[in-house]
Amino acid sequence: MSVSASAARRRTIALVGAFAALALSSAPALAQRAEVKGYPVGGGRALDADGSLRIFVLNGSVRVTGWSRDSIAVVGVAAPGQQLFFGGTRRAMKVGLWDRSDPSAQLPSRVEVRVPAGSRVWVKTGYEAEVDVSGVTGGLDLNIVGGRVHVVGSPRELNVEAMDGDVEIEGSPAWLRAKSATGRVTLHGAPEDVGVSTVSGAIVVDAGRGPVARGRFESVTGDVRFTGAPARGGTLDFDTHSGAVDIRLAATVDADVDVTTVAGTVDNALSAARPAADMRNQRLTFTIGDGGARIGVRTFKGAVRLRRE
Amino acid sequence: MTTTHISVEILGDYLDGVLSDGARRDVAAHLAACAECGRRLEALERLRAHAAAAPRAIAPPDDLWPAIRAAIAERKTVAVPRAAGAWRRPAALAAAALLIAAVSSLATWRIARTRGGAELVATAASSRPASARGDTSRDTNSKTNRDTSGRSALLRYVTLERDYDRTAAELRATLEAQRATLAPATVATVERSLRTIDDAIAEARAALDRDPGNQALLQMLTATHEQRLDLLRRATHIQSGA
Repeated sequence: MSVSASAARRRTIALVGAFAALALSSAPALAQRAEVKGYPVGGGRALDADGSLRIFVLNGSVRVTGWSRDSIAVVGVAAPGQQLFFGGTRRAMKVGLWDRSDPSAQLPSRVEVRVPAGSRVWVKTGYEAEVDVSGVTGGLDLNIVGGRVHVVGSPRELNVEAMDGDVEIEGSPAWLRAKSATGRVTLHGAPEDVGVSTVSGAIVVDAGRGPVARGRFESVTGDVRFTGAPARGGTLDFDTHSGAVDIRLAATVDADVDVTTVAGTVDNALSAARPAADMRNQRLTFTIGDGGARIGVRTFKGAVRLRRE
Repeated sequence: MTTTHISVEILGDYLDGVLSDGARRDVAAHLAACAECGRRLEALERLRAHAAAAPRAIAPPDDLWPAIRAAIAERKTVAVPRAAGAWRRPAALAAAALLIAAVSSLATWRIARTRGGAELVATAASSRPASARGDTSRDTNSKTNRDTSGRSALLRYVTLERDYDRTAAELRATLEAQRATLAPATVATVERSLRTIDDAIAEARAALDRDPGNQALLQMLTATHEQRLDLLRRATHIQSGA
């Protein structure tokens, strides 16, 4: 009993210490963001290293940072009338800011949350949100309406959904899905399995030398630019209505390429093959090197450009 | 209590066995704890089993279009409650939703008529295999196979398009009912994006009218319909959360 009480006391002290350290280290950053008017909030709770955390902020910005402790610590500036809440257990917890008097309040707030690096984190914010995440290796599920999402690192899984927000990812999650309607999606990294979809936002992927095993990039009117390489035996699919598709492949890529466009143009610098116009579409199929990987491009009237890096 | 559910896409990937090991374990753990997702998975499995068991090509009855038109006309006659005195807010929203559903169905019917829905079905029906018209020339075999394949794909698409439009109309009605709770900028973004998608669908559909057997067009249209539904689903979930 006394051992347990002692352990609990130590944990409390550690939490308080961690929270104090975070508050001190975050103070300058929070002060720089002076546009948020409100009052300081903060707190901490124990959370298992692989626990789940759901973060809600009605409107404003969230910075999530993974750390090597089995606890969460929150500091921030809450808009007037908003209140920091915690709920749940050390396996699954909720934390957030909300306004009890007016759930649809649009006053901006700003919070910084330290989470166990291996935890699963779910973030939901509203319009004009900024979500910054770094150092999380577990799972991430980020939902914003407008604003910006910026993820640095390689979580095991990353799902981002935005309506009007830009999404920028620097890392190679094993599994990645990113959607935005009008926002731009930028990826610097080579996830093993990636799907990106927009309505009118541009899609820019710079996979570097890392191969992508399975990739699907689709937009209605947004342009798609891909630089990188499919894995051996992998597949890359590009699909737009009127957005241009610009593919720059690494010099060592072996792939079977299949391009179809109804009313677009095809500019191929990967081989001597030229598109053949049948009664319906323009179709271009050819093999680079020994083939194996499959690259499929389909547009209604978007221009297609294929070239080496 | 689990309040976030696994998306249909991820459930589909789970069934396909294409998730990473970690993702598969997490999905399995979630499914063990979430009855709703378990039901969704079972529904998806049933849907796939039905799809797999379905014939690969369905010969359309000659009177297909009248039946479709009758079904649409039936939907078109959804009763819209009239206001009696001052509307209560929920009643007004429900009425608005029903009205939009009815108008959308009517619009779908008109679009199908004016943009060649009937013509497409007629084209598909008239492009019967040459052998069925008494032409036994071997030279026509290849074309016959293409025609048969194109006709089947086209008829599948026409049916699918109706389902897409109906689902989209229902989601639009839901979204309309939520409009007052959404930020004006959000509503503007959603509407702008829907217009972009609708324009793309209309453009590709017009091309399909001119070239009804174009498989690439059918696939593009299907993909764009999917994007419209996905956008609508996401828009209707903006207000959901904790």
